[in-house]
Amino acid sequence: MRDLRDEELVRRVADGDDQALSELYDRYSRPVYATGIRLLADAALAEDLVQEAFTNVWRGAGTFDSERASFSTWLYRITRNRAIDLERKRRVRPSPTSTDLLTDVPGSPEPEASVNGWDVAQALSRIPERHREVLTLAYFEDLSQKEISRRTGLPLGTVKSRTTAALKRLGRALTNPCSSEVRGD
Amino acid sequence: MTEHQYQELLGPYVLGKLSAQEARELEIHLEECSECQRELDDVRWAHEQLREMAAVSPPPELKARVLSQGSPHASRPRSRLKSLIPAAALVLATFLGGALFLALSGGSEEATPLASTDLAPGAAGEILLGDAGEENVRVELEMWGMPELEEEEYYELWFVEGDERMSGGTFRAKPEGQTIVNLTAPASIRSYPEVGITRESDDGDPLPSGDKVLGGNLPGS
Repeated sequence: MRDLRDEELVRRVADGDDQALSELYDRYSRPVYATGIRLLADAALAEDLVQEAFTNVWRGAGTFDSERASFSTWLYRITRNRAIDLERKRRVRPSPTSTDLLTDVPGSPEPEASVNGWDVAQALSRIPERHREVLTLAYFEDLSQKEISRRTGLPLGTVKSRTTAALKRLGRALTNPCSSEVRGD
Repeated sequence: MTEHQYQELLGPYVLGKLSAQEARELEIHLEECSECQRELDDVRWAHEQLREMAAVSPPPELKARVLSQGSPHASRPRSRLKSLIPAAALVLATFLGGALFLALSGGSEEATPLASTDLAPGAAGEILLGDAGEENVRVELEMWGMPELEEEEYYELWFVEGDERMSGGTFRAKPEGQTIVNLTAPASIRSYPEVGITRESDDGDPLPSGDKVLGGNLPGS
């Protein structure tokens, strides 16, 4: 499941595969949540946003068209629209439909940070699974190199060299998002 | 240690995961090696992007909540319309006789999926046409994930052929969960090959706004 592209995962979600939905959540819940924190300035609302965005993914997976947009672009649009709805509900008076409803919140993560989070999530999804695995364990689970070695069964030296190779691969995926070379398959 | 071995340590170095001795040896080498310094800049840049992204994470327990609500094993809205058909047909057959039962349960009355546009990413729906007497068609719409409307707004169903549009009725939809709308339209709508749902404002203009949120092709038109 972890070696599948986003688009294949969405297709599986449309077919009722809950593991595929779980994998997409692991890949993209962070930028969705960060966008919620930035635009709504409320942790509870940001959680609602994550829940609504992924419920929309589940419901709309059958209509996703990878020819029109990448999964990350599609999910970003869903996230923005759901954030607008949540912001509107929070306001006492209804306001015109506009993305102007949402402004960046002072003191929240920098706009570039959360927008960049979408790029990073997409880049991570495009690099080989063996590279994504060590980065996920190091950055999202905060494991030491020794702990990653124990978790994966890889020799410690391999974990170190693979972490370096994975960061280089991620850097290339970020600077050249259209390249198929980054995936290495 | 060879040049290659030094370079392999750059990842754990930027993560702060090298032993003090390894870090010291690498730093001494970096002072003398411009190629490794360039490699270090690249690795550090990727590290900073990833660290920034990892810094804002939803609470771990949220995943279970999301998956329990969004699990494909939960009751999936898409299937609800179809699952209603046999029950609805049975009730109608009981009270209205066999003709309508055949019209609704027959193979020609498949629900048609409606795809979302960029104005409503994540929305989806289905439309089912069934005979309702000789002159009318019963239209059953099921939608989910529709954008929330302002007070003065509504959705409108259109039957489309080229530049021609015929209104099939107006309605409002719940922003969360699914909305089921039953409408009655003249039988002539069966000749239209396409269907669309637009977002409209109560501004007195009877023409379509052009803000299409869902659309699809009707079978057998």
